[in-house]
Amino acid sequence: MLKTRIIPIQILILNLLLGIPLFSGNNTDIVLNPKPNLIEKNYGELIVHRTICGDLGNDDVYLFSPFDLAGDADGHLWVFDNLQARVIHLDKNLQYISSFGRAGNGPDGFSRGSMGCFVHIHVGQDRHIYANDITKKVLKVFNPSGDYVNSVPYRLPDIPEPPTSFRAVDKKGNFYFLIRKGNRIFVVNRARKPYFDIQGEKADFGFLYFKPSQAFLTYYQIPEKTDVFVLEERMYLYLKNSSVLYIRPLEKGTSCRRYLLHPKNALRIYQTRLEEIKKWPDSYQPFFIHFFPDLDSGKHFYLHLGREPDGSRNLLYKFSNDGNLDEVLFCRDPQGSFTRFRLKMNDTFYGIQDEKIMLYKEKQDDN
Amino acid sequence: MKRRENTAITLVIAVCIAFNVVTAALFNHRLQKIRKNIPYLLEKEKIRYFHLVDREGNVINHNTLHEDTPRLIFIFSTPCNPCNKNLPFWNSVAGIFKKKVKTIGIILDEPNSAFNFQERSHLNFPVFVPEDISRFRQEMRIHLNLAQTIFYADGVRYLQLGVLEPESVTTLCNVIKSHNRGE
Repeated sequence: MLKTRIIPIQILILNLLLGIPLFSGNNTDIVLNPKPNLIEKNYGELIVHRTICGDLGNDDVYLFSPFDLAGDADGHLWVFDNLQARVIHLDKNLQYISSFGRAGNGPDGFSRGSMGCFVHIHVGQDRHIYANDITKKVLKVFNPSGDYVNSVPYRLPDIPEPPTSFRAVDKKGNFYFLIRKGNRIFVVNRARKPYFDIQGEKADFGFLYFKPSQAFLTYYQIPEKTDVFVLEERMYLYLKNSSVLYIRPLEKGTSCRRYLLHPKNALRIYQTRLEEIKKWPDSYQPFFIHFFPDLDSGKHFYLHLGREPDGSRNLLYKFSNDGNLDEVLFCRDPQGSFTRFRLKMNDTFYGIQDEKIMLYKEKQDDN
Repeated sequence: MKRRENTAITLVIAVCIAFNVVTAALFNHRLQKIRKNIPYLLEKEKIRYFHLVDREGNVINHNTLHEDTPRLIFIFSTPCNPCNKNLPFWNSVAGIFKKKVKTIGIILDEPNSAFNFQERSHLNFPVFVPEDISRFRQEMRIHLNLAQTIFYADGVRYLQLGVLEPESVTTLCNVIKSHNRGE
């Protein structure tokens, strides 16, 4: 009896001395933030500051249909126009600089269907432009002047898939893919060397008031349901189904923080949405639609919730990097329109509404 | 003798004139035939029939084409594949020049299906159907379900047929822009 009590103590002492984690496994360095403050008390309004549409002051290029936006370290805006299959480069004052890309099969060509091209773009910290052609399943890399550098196909089964909006590139130009094995996601580099992994937990779905359907249990379907972003020396990995965010410094040996981001009002809205789609068994609805960090300070990140059930406000949640909810921002879209927020840069929020790029600024109180 | 010569000359001249008239008539007839086979109106050809109605029963006719405001006209039909491909471009161009150009879409379908289509596809421009579809098709010489993009200003038409490519839409935008600059 005495021996059985002593053994765990011995193991504990041995572990402490040798620095071995107490519970062997890959997730031991993940720290759950104890109690992030998720109270929705501060509300701020976003007002339209500027609209960019069509004429860019140049006879060669018009903006017909922005599909995705990205920002670089200089505050420049990069737009992918899906009707023209073109990446358009605008400066800080939104003046046209250059454009590149075309529809077609060449190295710099994007595949175009009847609804245009489905290409998400990202400007990496190495200043290269990463264009993820979803139809063709190719990640194309361009240098800042728009010259084609290389492309990484991910159609083959042994090549890991990047998330839909691929935004995981570090300063050295290393990019990270995700692979799924059961309920485990592995973040791997291009050579498939695992960087770190996370284990899915059914408990993450505790916020659902019904038994999760198969659509939700395919929790780790990476391409559509995960957002990954590398900014400065941090990697953000946001799981859209369970609204769990992992923030991990790129430096090895550092701890990964895990946040359950379920603010009360957002949860209520989400449950209303789930109720609406319940009649379609395989339907899927992410908790927050889109994740993007604050490119100005790097200290905050934003999660776009979407429209309230009554359609009055389009909500954007602002969190600090320690998982606390700082503010809920909202804008009022005109009837029949919806702004998809993509980016925060130069103290401005950039979103896409119909065929326009909308720039929003926070409304300042008169007091 | 001299009289006979004069008669002969007159006769020759008359024959020449008759020959020229007949040739011209034949040529004109042939030209008309060729024109009729072209599936669109030529640049300076008159639009004779332009009676359209919208969902609320508002009518526009060809007089509206001669108003000062330039018009952007998209002709299409719902089962037409090239037309469906053009819709995003049309939507976009209509949005870009919303304040400068009046845009209308003409759907060559039965009113019910046309207006249902308008509701479904969130178009940026108002949609009309011809009062008499077959006559409209005949007068505008739309033999096929061909997508037509027309910019009409000051009696001059700029026409794009079929599926629009980004380059042709850019050209269309430049035409509209240069017209506005000229004003």
